Parts: sequence; structure tokens; C-alpha cells
Amino acid sequence: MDQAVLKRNRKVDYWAKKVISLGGVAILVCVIGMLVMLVMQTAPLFLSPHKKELTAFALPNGNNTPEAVALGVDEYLETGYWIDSVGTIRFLDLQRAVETDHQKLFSGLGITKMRTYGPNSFSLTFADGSAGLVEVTFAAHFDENSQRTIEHQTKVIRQVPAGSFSQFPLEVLIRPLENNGMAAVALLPGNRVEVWTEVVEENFLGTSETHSFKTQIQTDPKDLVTALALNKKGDRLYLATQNGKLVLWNLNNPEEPALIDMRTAFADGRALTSLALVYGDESLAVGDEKGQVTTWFMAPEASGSPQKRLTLIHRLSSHKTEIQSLVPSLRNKAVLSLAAGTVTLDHMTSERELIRFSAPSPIKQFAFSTRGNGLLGLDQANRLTLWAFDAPHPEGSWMVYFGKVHYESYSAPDYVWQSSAGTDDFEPKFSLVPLIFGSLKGTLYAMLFAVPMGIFGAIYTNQFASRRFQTWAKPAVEITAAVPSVIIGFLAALWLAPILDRWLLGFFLFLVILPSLTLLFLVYWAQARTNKKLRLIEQSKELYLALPLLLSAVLLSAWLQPQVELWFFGGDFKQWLYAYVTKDYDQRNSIVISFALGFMVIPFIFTMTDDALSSVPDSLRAASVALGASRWQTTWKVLLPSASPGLFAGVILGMGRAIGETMVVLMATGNTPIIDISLFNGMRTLSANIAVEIPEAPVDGSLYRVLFLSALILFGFTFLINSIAELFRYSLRKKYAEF
Amino acid sequence: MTQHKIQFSPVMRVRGLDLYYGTAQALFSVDMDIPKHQVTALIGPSGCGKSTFLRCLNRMNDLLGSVSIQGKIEMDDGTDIYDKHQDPIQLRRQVGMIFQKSNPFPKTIYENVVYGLRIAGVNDKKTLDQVVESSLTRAALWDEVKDRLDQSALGLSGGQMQRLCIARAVAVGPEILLMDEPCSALDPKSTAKIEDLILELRGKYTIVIVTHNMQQASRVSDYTGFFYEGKLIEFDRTQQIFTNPKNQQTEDYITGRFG
Repeated sequence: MDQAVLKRNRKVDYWAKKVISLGGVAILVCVIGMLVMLVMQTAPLFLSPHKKELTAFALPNGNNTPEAVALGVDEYLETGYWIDSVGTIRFLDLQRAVETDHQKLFSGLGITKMRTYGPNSFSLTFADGSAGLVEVTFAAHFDENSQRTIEHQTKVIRQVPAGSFSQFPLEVLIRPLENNGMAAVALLPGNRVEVWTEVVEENFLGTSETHSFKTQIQTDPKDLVTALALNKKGDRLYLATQNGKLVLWNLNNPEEPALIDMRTAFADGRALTSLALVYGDESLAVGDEKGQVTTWFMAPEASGSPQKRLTLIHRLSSHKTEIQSLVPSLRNKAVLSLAAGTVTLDHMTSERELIRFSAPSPIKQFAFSTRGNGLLGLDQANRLTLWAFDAPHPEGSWMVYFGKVHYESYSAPDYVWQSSAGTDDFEPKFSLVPLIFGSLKGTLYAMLFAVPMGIFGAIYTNQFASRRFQTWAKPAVEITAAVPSVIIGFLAALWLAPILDRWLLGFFLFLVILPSLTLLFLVYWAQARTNKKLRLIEQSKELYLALPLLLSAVLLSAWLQPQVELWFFGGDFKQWLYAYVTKDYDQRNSIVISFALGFMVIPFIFTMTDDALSSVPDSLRAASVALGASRWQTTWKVLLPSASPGLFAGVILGMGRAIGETMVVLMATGNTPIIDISLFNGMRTLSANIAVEIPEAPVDGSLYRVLFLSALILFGFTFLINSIAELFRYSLRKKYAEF
Repeated sequence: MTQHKIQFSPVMRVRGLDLYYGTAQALFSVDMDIPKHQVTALIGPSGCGKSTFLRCLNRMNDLLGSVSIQGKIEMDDGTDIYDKHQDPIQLRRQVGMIFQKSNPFPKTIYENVVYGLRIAGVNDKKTLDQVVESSLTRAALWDEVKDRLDQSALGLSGGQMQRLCIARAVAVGPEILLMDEPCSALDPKSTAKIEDLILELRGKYTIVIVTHNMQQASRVSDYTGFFYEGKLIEFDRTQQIFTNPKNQQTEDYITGRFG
């Protein structure tokens, strides 16, 4: 050959190799990049929260200051404040460790007791027997240079005048009611609890009348009340006692409190020391003398029983000594607890202990910022310490994602997916189990339809059909794989689902009629085929017999539906279903999915089966035929066993397709994240869930990351399934490499 | 066309066989009587139609789809195998076939041998065991494989596989065995074994063998037919063909002037 040509060939070879390798490597990099990206987006869910000490300094006024009763910090962690026992609130610049402002609350009355409802909200009891509800607010302002200044404001929300209670109160809890009304609960000497309610009513003339009510709550004089908690609406009062009793009162009627439940919290009768209502006021956090933090709410005692009682739901951190105080977060379902100078923060739903720490000197007061990003602690040595704190995804844990969790207002632990609701204080439910179940359910029903259709269709086309049929059937099936899934989803949801709804019973009749009709026909055919001319039809023209058979089965089912409905199902099949089979019949049900998703999968199974059958060497088929085997025997005994890895590969590949399919399931499943295998209702799949929720998920929020976690699981599923399919195909190729 | 005035009892009579692949004619008016319990070799250059002719004898050409045939092939009971009433499955059980390349099923040795019986509905273990032993013994393979009947047939050597295929064909109990260049993919030692086997099977079975190898034809066959361009040029006793062919073309081919 010419040297120039040789040289050119070599050059082309060189570059072709480079380009091809580059393409291959690029694909690998893309896949690995996707995986890395998914993992990176998911990982923060599982990182443990961390805290960093920002600053620590002694209280500016030295050691001769009155006792601090309350602490607080703004969400920028710049301004802190403390309230002392003589009723002064002092604001501090935390960065410079100096006091910037101070003011007297309630004209300098001494504070005897402080109860907090969460960051910056305090119920204070004063030395003269009056009480007040105080809120400290911070507002950020930006000047022309974008410099931030934070203005603080102290607001007295409600005040209970001295002498309102029949005795001098030891501790008062105040909650505001509408129109300047309020509910106040006081613990009085002698273990008495009194409720003082002020209801303001506006009459039609626009003048308002104020009614005050004062009622006693019954208590056991021998069982000291150790803690009180009053919900935001002021109508639920929780008491905890020395003997370990947990009591819940209904204060809806200010004149007549009603006991809802009273129970001994723990079997060992341990004393309860602290109470706090978790954000949302549904769950009660309880601290006891043994240092255990638990949460409780009203739930059925046993599954199915209508009787609701206070029930232990979550066990959070445990300390070595009694819980001194519990403070809820006002951002999520987290609770701070303090015991013997150690502070822990637990998230209720996930039961994760987010943080646990103690200062060199025991902490006696602490505060959480409203955004949950900082903690201010005051220790015995009057040193203030500020920690920046980062727990971005406290509501997630393996147990939440994959285990049963007893969510608020649910009667039992369950797998629930519900990522958002109308209110902020809602408990997000991030169980991936209903979604995984939905994906598997959709796949299962799709495969029920697609596997027989794909495999038998391919066997018929490959082995029995005429060559002419083969030449157009194969490309036709393959083209269906190219139909955009949105079209199939659209047809399934808006065309197929209503038809199926209308002909539901007919569909089931069809399932019975088609096989019986076919069987009857075959019995007839066995006799008729002695006729030579008819027998010719068997040679690859079976299709012409199958079509009328199918059509008559359809017509017969449609014709029979009203009759059968009348005779056996009292005239309404769906009513009968509702009464005897399932309570959740849904128009977007698994039958629709079976057809729609199955339709997507059939081309894969068909093509793989066809390829597998074709890959069995012709010499084997010849050997079988030469030994006197019929077409069916050859197919069944030689081709199918040999092609079985390919068939499995096709089925598994189809599964991979079905599990990842999004558009069809998004449009036709109804997207209900329920765990119910029933044929008559829908599902929500991992893929559809991502499509539904990602537009609403705040970037880098918990929902966002949980969706990435579900994407990672989906990726894992499809990767695994495709790898298995590839292994089967490899074994098929290896088996026949020698032929 | 040469007249064949040979006296023997034929097991099959081929009369005026024309074969077309689509529109191209591949066999031209072939007449041949196949002698019973003798070995008949078919020789000729590539593409002469000898393999096509062989496949007509058990209707394997049917599988090719576009093949059409005229003429008659009569069995010794007078039935035409291409008659519409004739069941090709029945025919193929009478006329077994060994292919150029050995094609054992990816099953055990045992299952390979009994395949023909199983599809005929024989499932009695005792019968099957007997057939396996007798067939493998006939195919001179029993001693080599009797200890590993339950192992995959694909683990055998090339020559063993081909003998397994012979055993598999024999197990069905055919009268005629068609062999389509059975040794062309084998080494000389395995070839010798197969040739010995053919000589042994002779007398019990009628064997028709297509071969490229003229020494092989002369070694194993009693009769030889020479095909050229789709026609049967000469058919006679092997000795006659190889020592004193009547036809010039036969002589040219045998002496190696073409082919």
C-alpha cells in the first residue's frame, strides 16, 4: 500500500480512538458525577449538628448584680439581653461585651418567678402578686450603606393585676385571648391551682364588656404540683406532680374546668419536674427526676380503641439528674432541656439528640435564638457564653425515613409522607416507605401486564408468525417505545381512566370471558383442524383467528356488564366494591397504571426477548427440528431455556424502566402516598413525588434534601436493576460465544 | 443424464427432483435410489447442490421458507415424503440428521441423548436409561462419558460432541442417517473415529453422507454420487466411481482438475 495512505489510515485510527475513548470516559464521568451530586445534596441530612463558641464574657456589671431570671438573644446573634430579679431588662452588644441599654419592667417590681414559652416570650410573676406576659422583639433595619442596625423592643402583652387570685401566687402562666382577654393559671400556696380568665365580649353597639372568672382546679393536697403548662389558646392546662401524675384539664368553659385525663406517667411513679409544650401545642414535653425527657399526647390506648389518653410517644435525651427546665423551639419540634448544668437539644419527631454540652461552670440559664441558630448560656460564675449552632435538618433520621413514627394526632405509629401543610407548626412526615412502596406497586402491576404481553408477543413474532408479519411487527413495537410518556400518561389519565371507570365490571368480565372463549374455540378447533384447508390457517395466520376472538370477548363483556351488575351486584358494582372489598376505590387506580406503565415497558421486554430468541444459534433449532420436534416443542424445550437469561434481562430491564418512569405515574396514579396493595386505588411513586414536590421545596431545605435522598434511592434501584439485567445478558452472550 | 443400472433394494427413491431458492433453481431433475443399509457418499465442488439435496431427504429445507420443490421422493413403502398428507415430524424421526458443526443442546449429556424421546412423550426412566446407554455405545462414546452423564454436553471435545450428536440421532431409532460433512470441523484423529463409527453403523442404518473429502468418500462409502451445478452427474458403486468413472467431469473432479 501507498505510504501516504498508510499514514493517513494510522492518523484516522489514532484520532478515532481518542474521540471514542473520550466519549466513553465522558459518559462514565457523567454518571459518577450524577451520583456524587446526589450524595453531596443528600449528605447534610445525616451530618451531625455542630456548634461553635462565638464569645464568652462575664456579665458587664460584675458580680454584685442581682440574680438573672431570664436570657435572650436575637436571631443575628448580635444583641443579647438578660432580665434580673429586680425587674430590669439589660441589652448587651454581644460582640463588644458591653451593655447598650436597660429599662425597668413594670416599674421595677421584683420578679419571683419566670416561665418561658420559648425564645423571647416570658410569663413573669412579681413580688406584689401581679404577673405579666412579656415579649422581646428585634427588628433589623438597613441604611443606605446596607449597614444593619437591630432595634429591640420590649412589649408587655398582658398583665394580671395584683389580688386577682385568692392567694398570693407562687407562679403564674399567662396566655393572651382575643380582644385583650387572657387566661392565667396560678399555682398558689397549699398546692392549689387557680384559673383566672378574662373574657372580653364586644356587643353590637361596639362597646366591650369584660367578664372575669376565677375557678379552682382540683388537686390532691398530698401530691405537690411541680410544673404547669398552658397552651397558646389558653384552653388546655397540663399539670405534673411529685408522685408522677400527669394531668390534663380542659379550660374551654372558664367557669367549669373539665378533667380530660389523669395518669401516672411512669410505672415507677417517679416525680415529674418540668413541662413544656412542643411547638404546635399538640405534644407535651415532660422532664422527670431521673433526667429523662419524654413527649406525650392524647392517643388511643390500644389500636382501634376510641378512648384517648395521654400516651408516651417519644423518648428523648436522658440526663443523670432531674430535668430543671424545658424550653421549646419556636421554629420546629425541638426541645431544649437543662439538667445539672448540661443542656441538650432534641428533635421530637426524629428523636435525635442534636446537641449536648456543658460549660466549665454549670449552666443555670440558657436561651435559644428564634431562628434556632444560636444559644446563649449563663453559668454559675455569671459568665455569658454564646454558641453559634447549626442543625439544619433536625427532623430527619433513618427511623423517620424508613421506620414507623408516631406522628402528632395519629392514632398509631405509621409510615407517612406529608411534607407540608397549611401551618408552620405542623410536623413534617418524611417517611420514604410509602413512596418506595408506591414505586414497587406501580412496577408490580405494570409487570403483571407487560411481562406476559411482551414475552408471548415476542415468542409468537419470533417463532410462529409469518415472515411478513415479523417484518412489520418488530419495528411497530419498537416505535411504541418512542411515544413520549407524557402522551401515554395523558391518554391513561383522561381517556383510559374514565372508560375503565365506566366499564369496570366489564373489564373483570373480559378477564374471564377471553380465556374461556379461547378455550372453547380451541376445543372446537381441535376437531375442525382435520379439514386440510382450515389447517393451513395454523401456519402463521393465527392472528386472523385471534382478532375476532378478542373482539367478540370485548363485545360480550360490554353486553354482559349491565346484566351481571343487576343480577349479582345489586345494580351497582362500585357500590358493591365499596361495601365488600375496599373503601378506597379511585378512578386513577392500579388497573390504569398496569396498562399505561405496562405499555411503556412492553417494547423493552419484547425487544429483549426477541433478541434473546434470535441469539440462540440456528443450529440448535435445526438439531431439534431434525429430531422430530414441533415448533412449539423446539421453542419450549430448546429456545426458551437457552434464551431465558435474555428473557430475565428483558423483564428486569423493563422493571428498571417502570420504576424510574415519571410522567405516566405522575398523571395517572392520583399521587396518593398510601400503603395499600389494592388494585382499586393509586399510589405515589418516588419519581412522581420528586416531580410533584421539587418545585415547592425551598433550596437546601430539609424537603429538598429528602427529595434528593429519594432520588438517590431511585438511582440505586435502577442502577442495581440494570446491573442485574446486564449480568443476565452477559451470561447469555458467554453461553453462546462458542457457537 | 446418466442411467444408473445398479441392482440393490432402495430405501428411498428420488425422482425428477427440482428445487428452487426463490426463483433460482438449485437442483435439476435429480433421480437417485438410496441403497438400504449402505453408505452413500455425495461429493462435488462447493455450491453443487449436494447439501441442498441432502436436506430434501428429511424436509429440513422447509425451515428456510423460500424454498419450493417439484418431483417426488418416495419411501420404501411408496409414500411421497412431500405429499401434503405427510407429516414432516414423522419423517424426521425416521430420517435423522448430523450437521456439519456439532450442535449439542446446552443441557446435560443425558438430556441431549433422550431429547428425541422426551419430545415424543417417553418419560420412563428405565427406558431412557437403556436408550442412553445403547445409543452412546453405538456412537462409541459410552466409555468416555458414562461417568459424567449429568454434566453439560458443552464440556466435551469437538469429536465427542459430534459423536454425541450421532448418539442423539440414533436414540430416536431412525432408519436413515443424513450426515452433512460431519468431519469438516474435526481434527484427523476425531475424523478417524467418526469414520470408524460410520463403518460400524453401516448395515444397521442407511447412511447418506455429504463430504468434501474424496479420501473419506472412498474410505467409508459403498456408493458415491457426484453432483455438479445442481445435477447428479454420476451415481455408482464407490469403487467404480473412483477407479473408472464413466463421466469426464467426474474424472476431472476426482483427479483434482477442479473443485
